[in-house]
Amino acid sequence: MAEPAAGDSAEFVSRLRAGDRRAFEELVRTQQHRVYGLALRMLGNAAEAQDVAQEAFLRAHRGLAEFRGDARLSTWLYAIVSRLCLNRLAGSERRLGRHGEEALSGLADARPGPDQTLERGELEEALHRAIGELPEERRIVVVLRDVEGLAYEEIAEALELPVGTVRSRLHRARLDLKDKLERFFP
Amino acid sequence: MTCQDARELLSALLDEALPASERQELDGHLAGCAECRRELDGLRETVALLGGVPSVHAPAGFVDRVMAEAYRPSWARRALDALFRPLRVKLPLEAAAVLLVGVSALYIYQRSPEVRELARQESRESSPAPAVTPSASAPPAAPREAGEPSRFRDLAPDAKRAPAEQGAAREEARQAPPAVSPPAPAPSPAQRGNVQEAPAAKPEASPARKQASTDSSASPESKVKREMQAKLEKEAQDAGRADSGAAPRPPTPGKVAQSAERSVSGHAAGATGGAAPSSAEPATPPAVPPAPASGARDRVGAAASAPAPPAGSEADDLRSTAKSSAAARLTRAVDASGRLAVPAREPAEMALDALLRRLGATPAARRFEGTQGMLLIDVVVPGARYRELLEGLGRIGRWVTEYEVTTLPAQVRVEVALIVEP
Repeated sequence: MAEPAAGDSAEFVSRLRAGDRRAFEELVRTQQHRVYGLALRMLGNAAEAQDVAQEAFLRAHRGLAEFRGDARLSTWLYAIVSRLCLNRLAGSERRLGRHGEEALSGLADARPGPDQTLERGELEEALHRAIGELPEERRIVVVLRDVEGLAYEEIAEALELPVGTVRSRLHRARLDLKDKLERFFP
Repeated sequence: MTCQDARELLSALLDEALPASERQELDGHLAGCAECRRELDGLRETVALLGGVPSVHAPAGFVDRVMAEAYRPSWARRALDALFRPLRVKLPLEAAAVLLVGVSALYIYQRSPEVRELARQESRESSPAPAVTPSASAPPAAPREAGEPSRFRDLAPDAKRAPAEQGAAREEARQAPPAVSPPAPAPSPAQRGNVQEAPAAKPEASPARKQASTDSSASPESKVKREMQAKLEKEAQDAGRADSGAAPRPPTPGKVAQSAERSVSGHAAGATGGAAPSSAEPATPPAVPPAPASGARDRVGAAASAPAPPAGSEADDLRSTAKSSAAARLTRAVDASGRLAVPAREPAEMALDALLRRLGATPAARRFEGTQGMLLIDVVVPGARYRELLEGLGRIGRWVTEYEVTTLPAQVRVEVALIVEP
């Protein structure tokens, strides 16, 4: 499910690092849904997600000069938004894992409009509830892997974790989800 | 491989992230363990469900918001822009404003000698300011003085000689005093033609002058001087005659008091040709021309000795030129000033009088300044003889020039501060 990051060419990266406004605008345009999606699945709240996604791009804009060309731009952006999400969750009273009901209703209420493509339905609700109930460190890994489609190595890089840690957290997350979603299995 | 070991690897197996050796081992276990196979199937279903989660789209306008925020100028930049943008319009305006303020300040300073005068004066005097009011409201002095200028002009050769050499401005200054007479209608003392009006004022003024001549005779000088003169008034006539003969010679320090009187009165006598009563106010007549120039300082002197002729003159001057006082003062600027340190005042004054006579200079008002008893003497000397005056002063005492205009006018007004330094 991993898509090639748009405009990841060396030429595009050098334009970005040179402060090319159009290049940055293209980066935002191509990466906005990934960044926003991760934020929304981690935070469960559209307004918060938009806030965090915007902050992630602004940090990226300020830190473009530090961007290492050896990583993918999308991975770099995932790293930024992941950190922001985890920080926000760590500093927040509201923990999705412990207050799943609130988180879920928040997610549902926060749907901005027709653009919001989260389809309601029993399966969808169950999926998001289950994801929302995961502990943050497992949630981020399973979302990055099974929803966003990153490789283990990319996740390890984005979260600055060893690959082994990524693998075990992912496995725990999947086991948790399996127990909650078993009724939907064919 | 136990079931527990196997299950730990199931996720990695699904992701095809297992090394070949581990994968072989796991496959072997799964082949013989139905429980672990079921577990693997469950995980596979779970991952499939997660992969079916619909993608999320950022809200509309997200890109624009990010771009606007990312390229918003800093507050400092925005403040600078508010101040200076557009440069083409605001910078020239601001430069013009700065220039205008600067030029105005310079202009005001240049056109207000009284400002500079006051600044200098206040650093030198201890009680200058109140003088203006008393002198301005001293009518008794006015009539007495009214007659002075014309009378003196008739009689004083020195004063008559001066106008020929004087520049226009200086002449205006000299002509100012006649306009000073109380009834004088002249609005401005600086206007020419005031001289003609002076005689008209004379008849009215002269009786008053006679009456006042005794008590105020020495007032241009000091109270001390006045007392001495009053005491010696009887001798004044004789002394005047005697001294008029020997006028140019400074008396010896031995006869300090007497000869001081004589030299003073002698000066007048020489000028007025033995007009006895007037001999007691010798400095005054010659002072008439300089009077306007020493305006501000005269006022101070007048305050100390109210009935003094110069004071009256000044008072009238002020009254008749209330509106144009700035213009009047403009003509009174001192061209040079300095300190003359002498061991004793009286001999120094006599020597100074002699020097002034010799140079064709006209001593103007004198008065005490401050608490140290510093005597200020205004002198008008022809520009050509200014250097001689300085040399002469150097012989009388220790002369230090404190101020001097760069270009000397035809008539140089010098302010001599006489200081006694034992």
